[in-house]
Amino acid sequence: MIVLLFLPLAIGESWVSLMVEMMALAILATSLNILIGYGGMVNFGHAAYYGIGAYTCALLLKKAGAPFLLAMAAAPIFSAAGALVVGWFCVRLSHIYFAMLTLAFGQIVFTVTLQWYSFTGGDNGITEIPLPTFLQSTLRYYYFALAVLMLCLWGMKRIVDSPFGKALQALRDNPLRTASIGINVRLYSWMAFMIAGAFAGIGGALFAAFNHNVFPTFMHWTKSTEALVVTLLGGMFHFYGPAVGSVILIFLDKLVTNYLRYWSFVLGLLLALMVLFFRGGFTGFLAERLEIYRASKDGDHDP
Amino acid sequence: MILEVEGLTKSFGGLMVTGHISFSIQEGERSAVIGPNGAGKTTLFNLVTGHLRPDEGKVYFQGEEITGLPPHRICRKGISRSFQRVNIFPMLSVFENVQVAVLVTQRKTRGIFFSAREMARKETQMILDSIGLGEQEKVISGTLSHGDQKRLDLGIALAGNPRLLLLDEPTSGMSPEESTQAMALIDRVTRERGITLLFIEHDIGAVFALAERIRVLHMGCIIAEGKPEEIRENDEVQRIYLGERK
Repeated sequence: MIVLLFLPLAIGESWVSLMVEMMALAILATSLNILIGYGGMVNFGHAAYYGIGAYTCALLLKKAGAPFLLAMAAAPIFSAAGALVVGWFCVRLSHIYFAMLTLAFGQIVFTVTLQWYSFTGGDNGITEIPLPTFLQSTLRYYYFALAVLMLCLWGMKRIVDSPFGKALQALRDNPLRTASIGINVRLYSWMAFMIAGAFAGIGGALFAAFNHNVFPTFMHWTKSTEALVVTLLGGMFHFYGPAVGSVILIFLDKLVTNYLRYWSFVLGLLLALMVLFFRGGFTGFLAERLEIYRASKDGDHDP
Repeated sequence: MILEVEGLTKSFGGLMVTGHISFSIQEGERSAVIGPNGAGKTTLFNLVTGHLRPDEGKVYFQGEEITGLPPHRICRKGISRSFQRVNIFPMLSVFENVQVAVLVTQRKTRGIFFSAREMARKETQMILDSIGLGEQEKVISGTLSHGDQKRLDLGIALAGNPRLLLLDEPTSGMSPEESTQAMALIDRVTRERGITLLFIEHDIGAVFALAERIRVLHMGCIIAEGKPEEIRENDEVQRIYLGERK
């Protein structure tokens, strides 16, 4: 935490921007993990809500001239509304059918954004989004983003640790039994879908304002899979897994592309190794080591 | 009458699995459903608990019609059940398995902004102690032995604070000793809590040890109903079911 406060003072500006990008991705991936890691629902269209958040923020700032904080606050509301509509359909299905429907809806949102030139600017996106003067330096935006990230992580952590979060985990483990202990499985899945969508929207808005431009690619399914990859890399069974995964992905991307042209090859290889040998991702791997270390320490005390 | 079933009928693709089943259960009664494989016992449970919707017939619980309600609503009215296979939340700890069910019963699972960690500790602890898993509350439930998982399964059902408990083969996959222990546990907890019990069981020893009333299901119909000694002496039951086992 303290490292995050002082780090940008020590590194170059391009690295600071990279870290802002990383934080937006961390919010997106952590929100996705509410569905995957905690709810057991694989969502292939999660970027749609990230995109809705980004466009809400961009349109309000550029076309309506709304105050910055209002635009930021409106993003999760519109994203949640979008997720509420899509989720209503998706929670009626499970497993692969659920995943396919989220993908389909995600692509519908993407296509509408791509074609609706008069409103969204189509493939030109929305450019030159104005920012308030107090956030125009990269460093200042970094601290703003850090505050938003911390707030989002805190909020999401509270939610997954809450009674609702427990019910969600029960649902992941065993939907049939969850219904039999009195939980309305569809309603709870739907609420989780909406909550995840809202947080994804904050991530999108955070990145949109920083980037000064938004494009339909923000909501393309490849963006969804990026969040998915990050979740797998970092570990979906740990709350901070996706955030850790975001750090790994963005920095590795930067490092590898500096020396090698085959970034996707490296990423694919890494992912394959993770899935084959470390199902719990990076955080799962660490937790396992810690467990072994603790066990060996406890062993010393046993008579 | 705590449960009344009237003419319950369910067919799967032309095969009638239960045909016009009617019976009623008195408050406090402990009864068993027996019958050969495929007799429709589990289907009957599923029809009562809302996991299946009957083609015909009605189910009343404490005088109120519950036919066709979704499982979660039926559970909240006071019917808990267990399943033939172990049905727990394998990635959650033993404590959390029971706790989540207690929280639902207390209507607290809608809270999203406070930590659940210590909630419902007393109630959860009480249930864990009564099923003998108090010492293992931190263990991830998926790593428990089969017998302990079955006990936890019962604990989850008890957390619903049910008036009527439906157990689908509570001793399946158990050794004879485990089976005796399990039936003693069920006997104790249902007596302590005054729960009406209906269970499906293949272990005839367990059935005769606990049930005050037995219903025999064969090809989707109840062919006999009565006290254990009456069932034992029933010729048709002997021929169809009990005799088979000799």
